[in-house]
Amino acid sequence: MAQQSDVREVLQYIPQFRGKVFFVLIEAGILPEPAVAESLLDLAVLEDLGVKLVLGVLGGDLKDLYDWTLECEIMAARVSRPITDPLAVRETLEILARGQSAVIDASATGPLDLPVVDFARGVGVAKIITLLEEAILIDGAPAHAIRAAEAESLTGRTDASGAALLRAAAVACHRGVPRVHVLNGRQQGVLVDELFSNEGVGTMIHADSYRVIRPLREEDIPELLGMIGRSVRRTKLVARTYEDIQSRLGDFHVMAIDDNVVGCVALHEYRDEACAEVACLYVKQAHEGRGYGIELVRHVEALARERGIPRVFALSNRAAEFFVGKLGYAPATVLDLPLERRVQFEASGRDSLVFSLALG
Amino acid sequence: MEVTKKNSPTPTELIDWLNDEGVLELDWDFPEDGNLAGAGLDSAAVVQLIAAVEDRYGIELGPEDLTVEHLATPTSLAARITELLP
Repeated sequence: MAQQSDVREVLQYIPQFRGKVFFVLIEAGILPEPAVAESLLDLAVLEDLGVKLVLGVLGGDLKDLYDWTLECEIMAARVSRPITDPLAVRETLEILARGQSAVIDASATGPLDLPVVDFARGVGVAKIITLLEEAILIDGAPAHAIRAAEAESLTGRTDASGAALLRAAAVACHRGVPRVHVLNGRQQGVLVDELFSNEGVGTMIHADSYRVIRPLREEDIPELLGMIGRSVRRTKLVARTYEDIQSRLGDFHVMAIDDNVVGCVALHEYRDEACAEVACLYVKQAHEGRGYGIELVRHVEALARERGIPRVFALSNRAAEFFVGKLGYAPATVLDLPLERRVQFEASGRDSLVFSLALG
Repeated sequence: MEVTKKNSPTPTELIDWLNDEGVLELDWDFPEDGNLAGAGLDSAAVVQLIAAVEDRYGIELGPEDLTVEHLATPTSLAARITELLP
């Protein structure tokens, strides 16, 4: 039976995957395995969800893989050139642009050889997923998330082929492929279990993630509303509408990791009363406990300071320890709120506490 | 107010259809407000369910639709689909 948290995890990944290109390489020797057929059926479902697929076969005959894609109702077209041909990138992009998946001959290369990596970069894949006879095992078990920079230090804790794959995956990441998954293709359900859970079941090597706080863009609003919606009950955040946010777009800032939004904060200015509200602070559950909330608040405090605003305040009914203990805010009262905000607050019937910070 | 639109599914139709699609194996008397997560909705089934719903109803579920609450029961799922139908 599925835990609600598992379902939640799966649901959070689906929007992130839409429109991305996944490059899946399958070792020819395991193509007839039932587990591989299952993975191909799962890929067909991913295709339905809007993931773009490039499938390659390592060794063996491309036709075998192509036949399997037909069997599994993946809408694929064959790339006429092998992966080692530089023109294969353009042909693949044309196939993807038509809304089809691409099947390519990778028989002359190893799973993560440089031609494979260069092809992957050219196509702009989000992930390389290899389904092999054996996964990389670190101390006998798959290791879910290995930073490319630390891959070399782990090569002594796996066998020779594992070490070679680790090094090749790290090179792929350094050359611009965000993630490389090395999976045991014989394992039932390996693809879904790896892609849709934070723990995964294979070994994944990733480029150092790119984390940034940036202004909210209009196209982020649905994602933001989803985040807020999920937490209105959990954290008693105030519900907001698309129009609310759109009309004050410039007030909002988001934290993004590899361009996935993981948190937000807003700074609402009250010019006439020389203060601003730090509002709508939220960090996704999966990213809690890393100090991102503090970074978000400090970010908008700095903005307020730049704008010459002498004081910020926040309203919260649960984060006293956070604002007072971690951020040095002082407990305050409704009398410290700008008049407009006080009226609105009193009408809302909420029982939030008020916190205030003088900006030096 | 009850919203009815062309093609909008009833919870019972949804149960039958999920069975026919092979997404879930639900008993013939599975209640309209029965807990889908408790009926074998594992990771793979969730992914299949979303893909099947989008295909069947020609809609795309956004992040705000993809919540545990909307997928909790046939009734809640049918309601969400109906809201998204044109």
